[in-house]
Amino acid sequence: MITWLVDPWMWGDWMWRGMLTVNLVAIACAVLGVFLYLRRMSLLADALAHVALPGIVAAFLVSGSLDGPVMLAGAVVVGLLAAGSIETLSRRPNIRSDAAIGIVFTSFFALGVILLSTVVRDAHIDTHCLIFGDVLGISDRALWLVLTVVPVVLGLVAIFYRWLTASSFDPRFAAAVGIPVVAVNYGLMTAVTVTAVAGFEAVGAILVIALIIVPAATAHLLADRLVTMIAWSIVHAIVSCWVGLYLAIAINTSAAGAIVVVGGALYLLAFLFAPRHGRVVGMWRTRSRREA
Amino acid sequence: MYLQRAQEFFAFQYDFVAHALGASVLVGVVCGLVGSFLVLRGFSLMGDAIGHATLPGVAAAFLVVGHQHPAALLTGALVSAVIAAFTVGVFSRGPRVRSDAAIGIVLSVFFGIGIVLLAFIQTSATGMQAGLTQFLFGNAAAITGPQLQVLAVIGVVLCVLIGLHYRPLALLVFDEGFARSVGIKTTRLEVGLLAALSVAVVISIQAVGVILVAAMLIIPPSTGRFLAGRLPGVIAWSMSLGGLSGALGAFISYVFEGVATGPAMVLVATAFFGLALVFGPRGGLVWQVRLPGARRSREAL
Amino acid sequence: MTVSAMEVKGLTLSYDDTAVVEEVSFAIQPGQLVGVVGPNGAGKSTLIKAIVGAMKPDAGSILLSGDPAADKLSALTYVPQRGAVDWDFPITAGEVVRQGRFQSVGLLRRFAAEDRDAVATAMKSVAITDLADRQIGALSGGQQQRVFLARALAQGGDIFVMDEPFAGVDAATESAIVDVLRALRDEGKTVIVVHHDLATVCDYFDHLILLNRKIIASGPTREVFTAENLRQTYGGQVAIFTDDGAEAIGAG
Repeated sequence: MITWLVDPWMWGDWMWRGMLTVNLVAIACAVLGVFLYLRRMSLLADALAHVALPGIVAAFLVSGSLDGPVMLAGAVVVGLLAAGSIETLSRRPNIRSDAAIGIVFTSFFALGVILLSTVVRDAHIDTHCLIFGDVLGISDRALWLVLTVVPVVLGLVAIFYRWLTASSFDPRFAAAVGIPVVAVNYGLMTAVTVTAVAGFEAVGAILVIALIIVPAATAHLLADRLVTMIAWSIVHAIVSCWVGLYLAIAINTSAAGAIVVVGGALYLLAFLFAPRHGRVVGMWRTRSRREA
Repeated sequence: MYLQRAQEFFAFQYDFVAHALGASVLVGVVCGLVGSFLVLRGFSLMGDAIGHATLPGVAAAFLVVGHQHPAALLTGALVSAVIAAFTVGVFSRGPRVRSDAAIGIVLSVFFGIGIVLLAFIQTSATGMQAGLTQFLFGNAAAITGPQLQVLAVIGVVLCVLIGLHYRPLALLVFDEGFARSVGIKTTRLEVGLLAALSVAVVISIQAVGVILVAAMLIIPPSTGRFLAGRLPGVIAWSMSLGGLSGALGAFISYVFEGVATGPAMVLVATAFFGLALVFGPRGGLVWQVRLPGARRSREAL
Repeated sequence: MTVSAMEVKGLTLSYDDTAVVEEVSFAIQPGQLVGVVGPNGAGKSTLIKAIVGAMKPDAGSILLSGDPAADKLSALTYVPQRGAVDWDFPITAGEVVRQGRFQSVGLLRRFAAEDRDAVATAMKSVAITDLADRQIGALSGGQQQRVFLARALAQGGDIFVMDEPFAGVDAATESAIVDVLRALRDEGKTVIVVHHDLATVCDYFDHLILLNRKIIASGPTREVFTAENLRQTYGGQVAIFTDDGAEAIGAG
């Protein structure tokens, strides 16, 4: 057992690189995810993570470079463009906001995939990696990107904590006390895009969504206060990363996929057995009430 | 070179071209129909979740059968699509849940399971998963004649079933409360709609791919809403533009090497949407240039 | 004559090019308890949104003590409709009340003794001190409304704007809230309340604004609360029973 836990660390530096990167990304996603989840923006996060792919491709087309800052800039620009389009579209009386999200992100994603397979085919963009991630093959570039982005994102959340809380809980009140609600909203979306890009190489465009939504959804079943919810969300992220990574090594499969599957299993556990809001407790409570 | 390939396409020199064209049109038409009800019901992103959620089914079926048997893979896809739809329903009900998050959770976790299985297949001895990644973005050219026939039969049956239930479905998407008051079993009907969605997704994924099938469910109906004011009109536009997008997508994918069918048809559908958004007679942007003093009231469908 | 606490001139508000409130003008003197009354869809909540700066007017202006409202938002304290928030939100009653101090403590400054006092006093004045650690959704409707009122009290300000504070609350809470509102008025604050129970209008408010997309009447309650004005405001939806000059009026 011990050897099984310790051995992977001896096999080369990919283990600690992967573990460090994926944990940091997962923690940042988990913290941002709490606010996105509570603001009912889960699916917007989904859209933004998809849209970051064409963002990176666009940045490459314009600048010919794949440096971290260039990728981030491209993804943020395209991400905000997509968010703006979604908002504009959903203001039209005949388009619901969920349809607007679906229209915009699938179109952007399709464009990104086509560009990847044609115009920029010769560039060293690993499509497979961008979409599915490769936790155990983290490059220096990805490592540095994560080491820079994650502390900045977490720092900003800490600084703007009061604005985020108030505008998530009660946007009208927040606006009335002078909190720039719209700016907070776009700031949050920018942070999500940046974190998603940083996490791409590790977990890929689609699975990063799981790192954003699932920890928050799990934590909401366990917590009655925002700080505790964030704490649970981080715990969920870390446990999924460690268990998932070991699982992936043990059965020789995709680490990103395994992390997400473990995260999903933890959600299911919380959904059923959470002490106050779990379904099993709920059913037991209804039954004892009926008997009483 | 592109011209030559375009000529080849229209000559239907190769059977697979005709099959690809047929499958893509089928996707557009069937998704256009099912999607119309879905979008109007506010279930747009269920299509996204169910699309992604077919991946583990495909991979699991491959693991069980051991080779790429189309019927087995699509059955697997259908099973996991139905489980996913059910799971979204369970996770959206009760306290401390968000229905949007439920969609996101099912989408990403099922996709994660799919990735785990795919990677497992890739590294395991059989090592024959090359064909499976085609399910991600679609490859209409890989569909054979007999497969197309089966898909077409399923598609037609689905369309007929929906046609038979047109009235209750129309009431459901328009006014659920009223539908219930006149004795329509709305829950059962909704389950039926989600089942139809699952079937539509499953017969589409070979051509359009699991990641982008949602687009074909959402974009053509949304286009239809700018072109027609009443439900039959929306559906007609949605099905025809969906079919046309499929055809053009198959064409583009053939002419330009490396372009997968799925993204190509999605972009064509998006182009139609853009045109409708600007010029559509129902709420198109050009008609909304504000005349001084004139106020337009919300248009009710 | 003193400067009006609030003066609204020619205000027009719309959603999607549809006007909801048209050319509304009125003035409110300081130190009054003001009711805004009108049928559903009359634009009451929209008007409130514009007053608190959450919505841009198409035309017209709002002055607070003679200055544009946008410059004086800190003088204004808003209590939103209770239904506007998410009861599942992981936040305790105490934390909600603490939000009232966010404006004065800013982003990073710690809560000073004076801020903590303000929070404690506010909670005490609506009798929710012992609920401080309960999650907001676990409270009853009346308790929730008191929490939001406490947040407003902790915030302070000269003008209080409340959107339907009595909707879905129990009688005990309603009278507790009214007591607090009267106390505020007696301190010289201006309190504006969107209200829908015509039976209590005369009892609660000094000044009454009747709104149905336009101002039907605005002035001292005794003068404005007439059968004719109400008929104009509510159209045929109101039944008015007159019995020896004592009016009992119900909106339907």
